Amino acid sequence: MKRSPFDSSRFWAALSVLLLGEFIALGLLNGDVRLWLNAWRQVIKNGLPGITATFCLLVVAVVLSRSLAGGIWFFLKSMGGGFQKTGFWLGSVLSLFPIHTLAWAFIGQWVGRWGFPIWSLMPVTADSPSLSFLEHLSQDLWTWVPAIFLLCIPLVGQWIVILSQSAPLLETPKPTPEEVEKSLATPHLVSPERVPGRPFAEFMLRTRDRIQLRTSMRTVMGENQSPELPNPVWGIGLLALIFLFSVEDILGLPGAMAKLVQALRAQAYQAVATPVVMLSCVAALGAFCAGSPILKGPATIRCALAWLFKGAGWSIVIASQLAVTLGIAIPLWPEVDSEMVFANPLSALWAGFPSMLCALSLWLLGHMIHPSKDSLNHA
Amino acid sequence: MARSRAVLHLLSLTALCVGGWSAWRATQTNLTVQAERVMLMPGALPALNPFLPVNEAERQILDLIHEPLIRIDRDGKLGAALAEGWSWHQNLSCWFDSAEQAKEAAQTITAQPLEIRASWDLESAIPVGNLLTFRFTHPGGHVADEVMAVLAAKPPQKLTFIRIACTPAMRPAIQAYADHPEHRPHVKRVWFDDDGSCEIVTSLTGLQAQQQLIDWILPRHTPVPEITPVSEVAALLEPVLDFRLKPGLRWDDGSLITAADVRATLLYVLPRPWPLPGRDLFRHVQSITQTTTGVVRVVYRKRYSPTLAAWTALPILPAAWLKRHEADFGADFPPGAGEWKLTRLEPTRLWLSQRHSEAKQTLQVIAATSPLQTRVGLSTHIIDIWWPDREAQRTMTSDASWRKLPTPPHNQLMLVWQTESPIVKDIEVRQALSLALNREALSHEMPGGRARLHDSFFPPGRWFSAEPTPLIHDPNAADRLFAKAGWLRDVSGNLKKAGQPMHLRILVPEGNDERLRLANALALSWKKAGLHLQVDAVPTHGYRGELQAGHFDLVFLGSELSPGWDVLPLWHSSQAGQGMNVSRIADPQLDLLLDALVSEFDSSHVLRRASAVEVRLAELRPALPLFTDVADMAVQSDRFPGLRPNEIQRGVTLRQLLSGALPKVSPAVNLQMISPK
Repeated sequence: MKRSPFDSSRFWAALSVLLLGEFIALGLLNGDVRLWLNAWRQVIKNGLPGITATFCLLVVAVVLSRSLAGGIWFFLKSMGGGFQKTGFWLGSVLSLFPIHTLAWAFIGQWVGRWGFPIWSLMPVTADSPSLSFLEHLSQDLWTWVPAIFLLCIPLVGQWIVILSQSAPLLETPKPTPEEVEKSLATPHLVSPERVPGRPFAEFMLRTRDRIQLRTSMRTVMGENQSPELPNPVWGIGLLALIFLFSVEDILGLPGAMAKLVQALRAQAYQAVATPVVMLSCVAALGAFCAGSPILKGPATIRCALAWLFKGAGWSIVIASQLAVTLGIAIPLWPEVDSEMVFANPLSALWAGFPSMLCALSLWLLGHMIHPSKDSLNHA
Repeated sequence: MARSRAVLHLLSLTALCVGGWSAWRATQTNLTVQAERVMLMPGALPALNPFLPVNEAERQILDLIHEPLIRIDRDGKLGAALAEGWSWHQNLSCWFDSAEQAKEAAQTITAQPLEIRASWDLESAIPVGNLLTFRFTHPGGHVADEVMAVLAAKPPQKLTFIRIACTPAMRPAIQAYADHPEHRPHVKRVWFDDDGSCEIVTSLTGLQAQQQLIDWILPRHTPVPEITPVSEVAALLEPVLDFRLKPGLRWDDGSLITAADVRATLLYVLPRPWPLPGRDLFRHVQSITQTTTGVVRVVYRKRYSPTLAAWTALPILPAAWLKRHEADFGADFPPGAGEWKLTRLEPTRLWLSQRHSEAKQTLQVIAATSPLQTRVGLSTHIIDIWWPDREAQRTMTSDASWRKLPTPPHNQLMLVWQTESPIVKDIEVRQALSLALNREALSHEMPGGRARLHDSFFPPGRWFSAEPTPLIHDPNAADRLFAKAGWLRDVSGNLKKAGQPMHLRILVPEGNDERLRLANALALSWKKAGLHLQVDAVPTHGYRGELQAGHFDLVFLGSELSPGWDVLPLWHSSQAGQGMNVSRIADPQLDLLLDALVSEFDSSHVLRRASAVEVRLAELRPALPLFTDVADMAVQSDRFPGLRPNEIQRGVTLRQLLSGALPKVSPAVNLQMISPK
């Protein structure tokens, strides 16, 4: 069934997200509507570049990661089932690797070891008039490209996991034309000739005269069906937004997420309302673009248990990322700071391994209890 | 399906290519500009108040922008700045009963034989009304006596010095007295000190002046302050310092730099509580005028040669700007007359460019950067100069491209003995205590964990600073000296004399944690030598009183390094008790040497005089010089190739660094061998 690009559900989804954000902002302001309006004024006055930056990063990262994952998956599929399995595991590892450690490791290597610039982090920038168009373009691009590529790493991993779960690992042999014809000759449950409530035997008798399905339906049924994903963009987009919390801050980008981090770090909770409003705008835009989410509860207890473990796994990754970004020390958890990564970029990667391994083990436990066959919405 | 897959792959390929291209361009970008230096400031962008630098980095920037009349050059000598030259003279002013008498006196003097006038170094004798001013080419007290002896037949009016112990609130009333038409003819000079007290030079007798002042003040201010006639003289002997300004010096608005700017700057700074080095020396200034030849003439009310060096620490600002910004100083950066000027300003950056150089170097100063940005700037070598703190210096050591340069010191710390204290009055005990102290270890307790050992009583690196033999930590020699002084160790290792243990008391101002830490470290260090040091914190308001009363054995005395050779207030016997001589050293020979030093107006002889003082102080040991402060800047070695090793020893200023920053480009010479035909 094809979904209309402008069906009303996406409007409602976007509106719900926006309203949720507004309620949070209002709560932060102790219900003071004047302050809330003031926050909105600030957003309109100064916040649009931040919203645009975060939204563009989000969209580009999701689209590009889907594209890259598609390419990689195509390659893996062409290489065979073993590669597909490897892809699945690698994807899981990548998607659960804390992105802040990746960002720090990248900065440590690119800037600390090689001495190359990242324009968003440079304390000094060249004067615009003295730059040629190409220099200007390359500087503008290299301001955003590191963030997009860093975001793409876990997102590609997650896309690969989704793709691998939604496609059968072993190809089923295609039926011969005779088998298809024989199958079509069999009375079908979805035949329009079937009248609900009528005895099955009568129906069976009637359809002995080869009551055919309509041609269009026959075509659909006869095709090698591709698996339908229950809108994974929602899950991936949400993940990207969470990852942006660290990436924007570490790379010094002027996005809404970076503003939120700064306000939270300063513990100015009333000031947090403005970035929350900005963020709700980004999320609403994202929800509008992604369409409505497909929410499906766990069917069985096993499924619910699997959800629980996988959720715990993801929580470890996300919590460690948020804590490090906000400068909250977690006992027994390796800390990452700029001095450390500049001295040894690999140390940042090593610092990411404990949380990744914890998260991966919990996720695997959930996967073993109930291997999901569809998207991140279920993962 | 196939088409969408192709589009998908094309999209990812394009994105990878574009991203890769931008990354490649980033690796190829040349981040350094040859004619621009980038300096990273610690903290926020400086306010650039030339009299109140927050840190050493700001002080160095101010040194680029602003220019004093004279400055200390690379060799530690007095050098030209706004003034290309300077000379001392002396004025002798006397007042006669009438203008005719003054003229007659002038003729009497000029009629003296040439040899006598030459021996006086008499330059001119100019009568103006009943005032006759003699001008001598060299300051000297004995000349005045000889001149007055010649005029004994028709002597000038007697002048009385009246001291009024008034408060600053009474200043307008006193000034009004001096300016009143009735009083103006006999009031010759009025001087106000910082504490408000006033000195008037009048041609009235002491009693007349006293009565007149009481009559004037009583209706205006009660109670009437103490009015005391101090002394009586026949003439006023006033040293004169002439500065020849460089020709054509102008401010940015095109106006000429004149004596009015010098006067306005001094008048602006002195009433404000800014830490101006040599502030006390400016109190001797009587007037600042400009001669018709453009010479800035400073007349002093006292013969005190170190006043010259004080001008090295006073940046001159435009009088017009100061007038405009009387109330809101600091809201805007004051323009300077230095080699560099502020050309651009942003919230976290400012640009300075060279004023007159052909190379047109610029200095970009960046501030308020995050630690990560700082680290990125250092790693990408986009920063040429920065000011690392203690932690950063540790990480910097791994990078060989950075070179650490100390800047000249500005403060000193010494351990002053109370020379009348029962124990430390013995010079051998003071010497032994000095030898028992490990200054190197103690320096780690200084702010920032660093300090430069200093052995002299004079500022380091100046032409008049002798290099005394460094004091080496020697516990054995200390023990021998203690024994010689009668202090012997008992079985527990404690020093005792006549059964009494050595117990000393050091004072620290309450709330000064740095001094307290230092005192505790000192106590710990001396405990090994067998003596007990009691550390007493004294409330700040009573600290000075305790020092002047001598209720201590030793004390840390920290001070700004004097711009000149002005050490008299610390060690002269006249300053003991109520003055700054808290060591209470009173040595006639030292007093004579100090008097001779401050009376030496020939700069080339100052070294000899200062060395004599240094030697005597080393013999008397009223104090143990400990440290001077140290601030390091780190520079990229390859961007500043002209540095010499001795500059690192002495300390390098940003000004020196930038003046020799650009490597001299030699013209390419293409020599071809010409073979004989």
